[in-house]
Amino acid sequence: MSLRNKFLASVGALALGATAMSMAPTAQAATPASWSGPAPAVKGAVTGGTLTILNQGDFEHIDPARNYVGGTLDFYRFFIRTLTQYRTINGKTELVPDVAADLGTTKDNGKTWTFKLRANLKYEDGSKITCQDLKYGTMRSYNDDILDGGTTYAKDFLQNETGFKGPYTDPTGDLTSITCSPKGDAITYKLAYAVPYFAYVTTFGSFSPVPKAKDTKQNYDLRPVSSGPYKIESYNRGKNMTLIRNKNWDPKSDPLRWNYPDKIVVKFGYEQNALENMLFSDSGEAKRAMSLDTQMVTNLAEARTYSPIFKDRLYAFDSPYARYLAINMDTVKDVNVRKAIQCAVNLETVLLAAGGTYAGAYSNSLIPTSLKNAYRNFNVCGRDVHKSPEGQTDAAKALLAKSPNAKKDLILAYRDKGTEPARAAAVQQALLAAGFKVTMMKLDRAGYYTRIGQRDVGVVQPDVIQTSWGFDWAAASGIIPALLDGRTMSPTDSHSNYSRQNEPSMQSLFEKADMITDALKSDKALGDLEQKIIVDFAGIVPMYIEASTFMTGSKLGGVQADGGYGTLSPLAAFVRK
Amino acid sequence: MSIYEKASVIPALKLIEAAPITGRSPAAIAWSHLKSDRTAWVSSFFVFIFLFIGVIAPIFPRILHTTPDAFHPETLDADRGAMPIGSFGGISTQHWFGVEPRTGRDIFLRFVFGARTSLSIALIATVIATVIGVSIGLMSGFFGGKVDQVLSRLMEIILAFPSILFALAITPVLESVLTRAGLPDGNGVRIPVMIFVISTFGWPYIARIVRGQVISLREREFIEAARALGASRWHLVFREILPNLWAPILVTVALNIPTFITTEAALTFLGAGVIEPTSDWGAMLLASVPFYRVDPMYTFIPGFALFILVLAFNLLGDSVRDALDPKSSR
Repeated sequence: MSLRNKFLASVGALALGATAMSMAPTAQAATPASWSGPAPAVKGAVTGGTLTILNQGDFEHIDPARNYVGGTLDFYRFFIRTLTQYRTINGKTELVPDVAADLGTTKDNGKTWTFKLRANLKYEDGSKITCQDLKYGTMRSYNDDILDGGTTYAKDFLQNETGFKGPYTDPTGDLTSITCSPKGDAITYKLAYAVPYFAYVTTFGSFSPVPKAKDTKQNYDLRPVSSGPYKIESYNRGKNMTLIRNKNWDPKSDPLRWNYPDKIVVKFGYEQNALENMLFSDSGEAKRAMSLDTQMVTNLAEARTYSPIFKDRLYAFDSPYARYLAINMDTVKDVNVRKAIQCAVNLETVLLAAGGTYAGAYSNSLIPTSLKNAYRNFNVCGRDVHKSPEGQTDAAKALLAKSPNAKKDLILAYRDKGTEPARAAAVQQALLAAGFKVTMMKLDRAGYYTRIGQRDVGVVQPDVIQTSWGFDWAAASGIIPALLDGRTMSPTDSHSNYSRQNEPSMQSLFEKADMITDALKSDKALGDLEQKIIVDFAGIVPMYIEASTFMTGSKLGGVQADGGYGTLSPLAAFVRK
Repeated sequence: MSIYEKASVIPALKLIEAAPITGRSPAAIAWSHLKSDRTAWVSSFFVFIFLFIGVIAPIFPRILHTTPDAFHPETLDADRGAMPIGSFGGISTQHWFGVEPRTGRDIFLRFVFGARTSLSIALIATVIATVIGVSIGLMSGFFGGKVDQVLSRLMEIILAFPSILFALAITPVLESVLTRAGLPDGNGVRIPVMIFVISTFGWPYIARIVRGQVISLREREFIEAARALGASRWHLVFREILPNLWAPILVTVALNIPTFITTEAALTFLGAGVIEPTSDWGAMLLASVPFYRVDPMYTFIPGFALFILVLAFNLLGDSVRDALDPKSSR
């Protein structure tokens, strides 16, 4: 009898029900029936009509190798399929195979993974999706100098004995760690070390099939080939995108997608306040519309106070997005200065600037409290932030006095979106009160994450960076390595390690954590690691964990909160007449 | 005495008792007209008040024991979307105009310091635009010919541009140029950019009017006389013509200042202006728009102030023009 390791992690309390994720890293006897399509019908759904999505900004990237933004990862499942994916039904989210036929099996405790593949999957033009396409999809992600923006998980985890650099710079090279079975019905991944949660990693787009003949490199971002229920009819960057039905998608092959609307139209360029009011008042085109990136901000209190009135179109849920400040350890080298920054920040004014109690909850960690094995309630700057969120100005001044010659001029970078400027102003005031000098660096929302990741390329480095993070999957392994492991950085790009954390003592702890094969023990080890980085090295100032409040038009149904991405998902949406 | 002599003596006697006839310069005449114009008094009063408040702004933080950028979380209701506690946006003895939602910053102080920001940017731009506009208008009007052709076309091109759209487009470009040239990020770059944009689009208005005046003046006899006496062109332009232009320049400037103020507010409103936490009337208007339903005072205060100031300048400009116009009826 083989052991079944159950890896449980719950994601907050969703308004629509609790989520649970489970995973079986060892062999299973038979595939559950629910892994085959079609996805169960949504109650009350009608087919037809046009679903409208109204967004403030365009998608950063829709090329699967470059997409790393929660709302887009959720949305692009309309035309992108990956090895494994999340399925949300009736408020419950679980991991299911997508292009794969199972969640992977391993005979060596998670160092080698084999996935059986579904048969007869087709692209939008009718050609077959092959195992080689899956391998190529991963290989091209190695050229992240050209295909930037995505996760680095393939590079981080897969073996690479030949030193493969990517098909664009190394056209004859091969990524030998990925092999296809002779019949093309299974794919095997050889990892550099055991990764018990690998089936979660394969939800990302670098594990998505891309036909090599149709790979247009940077331009693939404008027109990826579809394997999902819809295909791109037109995409005018910054203006709109239209999706129409993909007749070559077989619902019986797909357990997690629906295709109720005939057409999906996405429009970009709306302004927060105007769009929010349209959705709130259910007026005009908003009646049959929803937004992926615009929540209730000024209407937040009203929406939540009168929620019984809006219950059919109000979606309020705890998101996994942690809002925090990354302190640039490359430019703020003195640990006393970093600790002083931590002490100075006033979480109360930050949360008020975000909208008060409905906007979220104070936090001392990047890990949400729902991840019970990994979350620790440690004190930041010697106090419990939940009880005393105010800035500890005296402690900050005392710390600064310990390093009288250290630089106290800080550049604070923030995005020009929503409540971010107000929150940055709150951070600035708190830092000024502690004796710092703060220059504000307001950056455009387009390309923000690229800009704050740039190192050593001649651009001005910000010292304190306002940013947020939603877990890549519901475990500490989906948060801490991406944000704090120095090995994810390149000399010119910090990737998601905006703190540029690379302390030798912390790195040896990361390497030790890699060796842990048990998922629960891994969670614990990473939780301890994060505590050390925050308390001893002050690389991060955690602020609050966001609560999401969305509203949609009254004619929409089937919209749900997605527990995998922490976003409002249009995947099961339908439009009433 | 004959009867005719008697008749003329009496009125003459009356005349002697009246004030002696004095010659008055056009300026003195204009000034006396202005003094009797009630609208001019009222509008000057408001203009003076706003300028005065901008100048003495720094004493208010000492009176109220806080600063325009300080957050006051205790004035906000965290459970109701961080809105101000109390009616009229949280007006109290400590916060004369209430507090901002979400931040709790004192609106009166932000208003007063915002006046400084908006007015100083607009006034500096006015000075620059006036200097440029007068110089180019003088050259264009006096020299005529090809110089006039080229300069007039330049003026027309600039006037034809949709200035605010162009300003929005050019601001990020200018900012990156200036940042690379070494100016400090943030307001150190944005304020010069705004002044540059406003004065670049403002000088043609002044130049056109000056040019028209110069063209009519250069044909006058006193210019001919000075030329006959051997005056250089330099002397003619700066010693003969320019002193006679003060009236139209004054009127144009008075009528242009409100335009510059609103352009500055518009640019900040549209995101091309000063960045937080510097307060500015346009920035206050922008920040207040999402809250106008639940906290209308926050929009009303900068909006009304801007309205009064622009109206005051416009009326004052009209009054000055009427006072200087020898043909206007009194």
